Amino acid sequence: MNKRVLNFLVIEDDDLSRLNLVTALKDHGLVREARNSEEAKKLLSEEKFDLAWIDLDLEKDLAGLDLIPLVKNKKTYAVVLSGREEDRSIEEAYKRGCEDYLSKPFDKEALNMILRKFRILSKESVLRNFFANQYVTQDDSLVKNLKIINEVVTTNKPVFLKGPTGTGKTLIAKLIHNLIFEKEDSFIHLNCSEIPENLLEAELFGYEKGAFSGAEISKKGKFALADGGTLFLDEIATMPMILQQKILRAIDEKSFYPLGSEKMVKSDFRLVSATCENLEEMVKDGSFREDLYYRIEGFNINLPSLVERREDIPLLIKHFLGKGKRRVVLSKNVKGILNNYSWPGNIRELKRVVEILQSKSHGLIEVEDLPAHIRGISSTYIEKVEVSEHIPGSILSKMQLDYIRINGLKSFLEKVEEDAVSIIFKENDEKVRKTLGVLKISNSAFYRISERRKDARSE
Amino acid sequence: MQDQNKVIHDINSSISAISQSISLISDNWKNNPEIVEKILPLVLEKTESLEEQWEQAKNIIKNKG
Repeated sequence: MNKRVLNFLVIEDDDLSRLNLVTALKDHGLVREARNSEEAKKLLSEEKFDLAWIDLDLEKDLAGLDLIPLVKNKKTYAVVLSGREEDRSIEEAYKRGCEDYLSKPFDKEALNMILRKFRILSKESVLRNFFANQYVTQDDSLVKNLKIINEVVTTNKPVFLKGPTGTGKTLIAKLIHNLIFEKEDSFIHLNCSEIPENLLEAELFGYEKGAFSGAEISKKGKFALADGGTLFLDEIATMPMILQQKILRAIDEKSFYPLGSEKMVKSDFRLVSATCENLEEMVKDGSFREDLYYRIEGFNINLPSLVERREDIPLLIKHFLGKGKRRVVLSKNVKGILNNYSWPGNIRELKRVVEILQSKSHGLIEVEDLPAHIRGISSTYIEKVEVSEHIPGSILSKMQLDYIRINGLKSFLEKVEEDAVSIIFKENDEKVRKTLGVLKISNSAFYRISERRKDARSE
Repeated sequence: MQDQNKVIHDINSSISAISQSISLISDNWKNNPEIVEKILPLVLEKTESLEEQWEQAKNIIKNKG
């Protein structure tokens, strides 16, 4: 796995101490060595290092102190090594910007402690930046749930993200990738629901020229492209059963055969999968393979819908409003409606609504500026609800079309399914068989939709 | 006082180097004898320096009475 390789600079004049340190650090990354200040300065000017290990006494006593600011200026983590016991040397080293001071004699465990601390701090800055600029939340339970991300980097277990559409699953997948890998390592995102069933296999495994009609050139699949990085399988619940079986080996053994090829390809990737469906239920009703479910599970992260963390809505509105170049102000009523709306499309929907509001020609946003479906649903805030007209030649109303524009077709279709199941079920005295007859859907589809509706209602 | 600090520093450094070397020799003597071959003469040299440093320390302690 192309895990983040650390670059070390060891600045030590004593041959034995330098050899010890270089040998120990080689297990953790690439090591360059300097025997004196001059060599250190040259290397610092030519290369980029993650950590510098500086012996305090080099060609002259305390020469290492002068190197600390140079190391800091290069944004390198400075660790001072010294046998000096005097507090003033330690204090001076910290004053000049060293991050850690290791007193000699020290052992391997002390080195490991420094490396662990460095890794945690580097991760923290990525995490801090992520939660400050990309994933705004003050919801305690979500923050607690997301703390598992800290552990994700320590093992190679797969990550499984679960949450309704628009809750930021792709953002979290990218964050995990950024924590583990370097920028240049591949992040391969495949939304299984967007690729037609008959093309999905070729998309995942790749193919050789002539493997099937139309395969005029060989093409690498997503498994191969993700080598040394992350493979993000989004909407994995929509993967056809036959393909679910085929990807087991690729996930398990990190090896596979492209279509039409007899040559095994190896690919070392970190698997992140996501779904908005209830996979446990799908396993129970036989529409998702149990063995695949247990392989994609590892670190499970649940992302709640926006209404489950309502206190984040004003924060997110403020956050997205601040992103636009043009500033607009929301009236009190608008804020009230937005805070109370059900946000079925979650953060994605909220972001798009804010973008629409920002594009209005006037600066003060009133209730009339809100999309019709939001005004309609938040009827407590307006006295008169407009009757939405139908689009000529279509079964869609203007309000429904507005809903699709904001939330996307998938969310609209889900809402139609949920409402249809609920209404027809009630009309048929809550008799499942009669309801299925009217709806013309399977038993499992009925329960899947009902379950989704229950989840939405409990929110 | 300056001498004393220097001697303590040198002894600490030598003990550190020798103990780390022994740990490395223990980890590598089977699978990576080349590194052991490189380290051993330096360890012997360092042990001699440590003996000298310890003599200096003893003198400082004696003089302090």
